[in-house]
Amino acid sequence: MAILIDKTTKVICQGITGSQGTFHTKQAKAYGTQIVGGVTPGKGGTKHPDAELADVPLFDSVEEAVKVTGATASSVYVPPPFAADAILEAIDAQVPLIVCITEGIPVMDMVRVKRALDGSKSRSLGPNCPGLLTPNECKIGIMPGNIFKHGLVGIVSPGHADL
Amino acid sequence: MVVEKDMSLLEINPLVVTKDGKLICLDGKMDFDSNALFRHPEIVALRDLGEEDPAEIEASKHDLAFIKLDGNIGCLVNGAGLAMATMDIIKLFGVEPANFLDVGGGASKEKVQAAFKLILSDPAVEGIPVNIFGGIMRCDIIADGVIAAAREMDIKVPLVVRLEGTNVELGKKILRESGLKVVPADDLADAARKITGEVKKAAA
Repeated sequence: MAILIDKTTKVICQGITGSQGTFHTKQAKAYGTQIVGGVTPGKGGTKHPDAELADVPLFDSVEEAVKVTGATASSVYVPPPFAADAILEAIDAQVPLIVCITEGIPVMDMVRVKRALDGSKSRSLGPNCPGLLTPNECKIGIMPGNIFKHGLVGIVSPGHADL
Repeated sequence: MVVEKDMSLLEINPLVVTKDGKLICLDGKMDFDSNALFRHPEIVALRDLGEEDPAEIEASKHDLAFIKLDGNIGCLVNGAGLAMATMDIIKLFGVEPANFLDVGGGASKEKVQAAFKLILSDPAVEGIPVNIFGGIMRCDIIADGVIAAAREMDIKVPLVVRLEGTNVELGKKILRESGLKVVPADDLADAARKITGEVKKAAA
């Protein structure tokens, strides 16, 4: 029983052209996640340099990506100085689920994000989290998919490796 | 000031009122969000290295989370939560951690090497369990770092390595084929049991 994501969830990746974004989006795609687009300002309309992601459309903004792809979730793999801004952009674009993997975002930036979330249409997971996964359906994050099995118990954990 | 300078603590203590009604801050303490220092070079310039533990200074150069403790088991772990769990389970088996060290996600081979050097710079360390659950952290990179450190430093203390997660089979293969004396472990408890056993064996 999936709660937040399943095989129909359409996911975009903010920061998809960075090294972490590239690696983990490839892994998510291989797991079966529906990766429908990526956002890297300035790279909209170009092709992702990695062959496995060449068919993923790139956009300059989250708003544009959501309009074109109908995405309902975003994974944020943006470096700490800009990550909060990326989350704010997704909140502005009314993305229902925003998953921020980035560790090391300044606390004051996240205070602003928390304020922006109040009354918004978005639910945020993270930052500094491994993401979430519904076995055999959808993976948004960095957990190795092969260790999870479909079952009756859901696991919530505070840290990456504590899982 | 707290918001402008990204502080995590601003304390005035004591604050006194003089006989003629003036307010004077007699002492204060300020703590800064280390995640925000990248945008405060003026604060970084105030850092006084003489006030800090040399090992912890070295750790921060390599962006490693490291706290020196008093025990004899040097832990190398990824993830603060797992590092703490590792320390707990070591204590359960009757030995004491020599440090807290979180090598973090996305670490390079060089960072892993630096982490090893740091742990081994403590003469009290008698054994090193490496406990990795790789998500962002890749097991093959850990393995490369362990081997590079071992080759460079002639590690004399027992080494127990527990790998799990991203690229685990590749990581285990790299360790196996290296010819290094590394004791593999399957899970947290197994790693703690083995390092305790190895340290006791070496002491006998």
